Amino acid sequence: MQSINLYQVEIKEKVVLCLNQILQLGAVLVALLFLSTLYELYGYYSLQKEFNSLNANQKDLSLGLDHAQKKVVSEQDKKEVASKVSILQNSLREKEQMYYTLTTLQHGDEKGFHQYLKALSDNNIPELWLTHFYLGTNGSHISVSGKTVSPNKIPELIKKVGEHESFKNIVFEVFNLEKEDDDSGVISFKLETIQ
Amino acid sequence: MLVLSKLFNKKEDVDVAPGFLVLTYSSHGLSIVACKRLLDGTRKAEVVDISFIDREISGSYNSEEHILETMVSDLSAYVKEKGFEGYDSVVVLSSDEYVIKMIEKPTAENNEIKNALKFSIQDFVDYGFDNTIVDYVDLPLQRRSDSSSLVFAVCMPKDNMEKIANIIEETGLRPFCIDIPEMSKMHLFNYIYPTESMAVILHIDVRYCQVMVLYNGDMLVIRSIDLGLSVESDNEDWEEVSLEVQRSIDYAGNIFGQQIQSKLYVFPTKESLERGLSFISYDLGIDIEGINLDEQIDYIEKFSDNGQDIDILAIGQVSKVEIIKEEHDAVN
Repeated sequence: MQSINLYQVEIKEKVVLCLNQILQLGAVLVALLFLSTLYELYGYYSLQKEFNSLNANQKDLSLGLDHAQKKVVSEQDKKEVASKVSILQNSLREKEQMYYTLTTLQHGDEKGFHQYLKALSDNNIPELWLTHFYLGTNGSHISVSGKTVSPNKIPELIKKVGEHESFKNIVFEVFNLEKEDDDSGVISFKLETIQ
Repeated sequence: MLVLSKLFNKKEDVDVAPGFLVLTYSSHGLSIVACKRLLDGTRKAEVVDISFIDREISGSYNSEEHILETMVSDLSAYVKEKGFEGYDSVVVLSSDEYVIKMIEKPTAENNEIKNALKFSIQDFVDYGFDNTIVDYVDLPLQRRSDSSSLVFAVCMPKDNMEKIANIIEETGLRPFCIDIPEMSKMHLFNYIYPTESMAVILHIDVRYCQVMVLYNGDMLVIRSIDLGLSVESDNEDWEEVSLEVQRSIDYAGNIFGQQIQSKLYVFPTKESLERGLSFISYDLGIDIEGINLDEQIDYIEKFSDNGQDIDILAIGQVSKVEIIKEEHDAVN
């Protein structure tokens, strides 16, 4: 038979429970509650056990910490030690420098005085003689003093010394010339680089 | 889990209301047929009351307001007074609230046909796909075997359906069914003439006429004529009605290959319309049989004062329940 119904909505069917079903449902809920409580108790027991274990570990760690703290030096001690270390390091650096210098001198290293002495001794100029010289470390400061009866020999000395490899880049910037008081005609001179 | 599944899978009896009210309405008022279900274990119901609530239109008439809304307080009072709270309601729409079209049945799965029909019927409505409620009835197969199946698709705006449902709930009734007048008339005819295999029916209303062709109890053709007939109607009007009846008969014969008996059933029967009906009978050469509800339906006279008018639709819905009950008994 043909039939039309334009009332079209989703009608939710009501769930009607009788007393017996309500009691059954209640029993199921109580059982679930009981199981849930048991599970909670088991969880509590496990947590308590773990808590005790952690407490024991904490005690052991506290003892170890006390022991370690005794070994740790104070801040003041650290500063003193650091100061001593700094002093010792400076002393070590000086000793190393001294050791280096001495070793260089001992072995005639090219970086020592040998090359300068050789350059000065290689130039034998008549009527001129050297009386004093000073060489700084690695030629940092050079001072040469001498005497002559012929002042015109001094430029020859400068020229010859300058031709030597060791004096190539050295410029004498102080030049003193002084006549002796004893009328011997000897003139003192001094060549010096500025430090 | 087993216990729970047993609990909730247990079959419950369907929540059946103690009765139902059929509500039909027009601008004049609301017709109510109240039925109470018998306590004999069947779903059969008996009519316990037929009432009519006059519609009073106040000065501040709101055209957007649904007709039922204007009578909701009276209906609520009626339901409360009669003790009909919790009863189901069957609402028969007025003719301007829905659209009915004969269209091709979509080739889709049964559960998708309504959605497919929503698309098909959008050409005839303007309230949008999502706001459309559709139901349909199948028509008999056409005479040509290569032709597709046809259906009568009925649709209405979803918001109107919800509005009606809300009004019904407000009165204390339960929304159960929303039907259309054509189906009410069909059910009424099938109740009165259960053995008639082929019939042409003319329903005459003060506002319009409707010609329906039934085949084995199913609707085959519906043609509406926008013409109210009365004692003042002239021959030209009756000739137009006559023409539509002939067209309907021809259509049923051509499309469905059904030969119509030479009889026209008419309701309601009124002496004032006899002249016009005689004109149709003479014009088409067929007999006219008036359906007199006072004689055919025993409870009409008992309850109703105006049983030949708007109550027809409500009584048609009551008849549907009777028909369904009888079919149910026949199957069992």
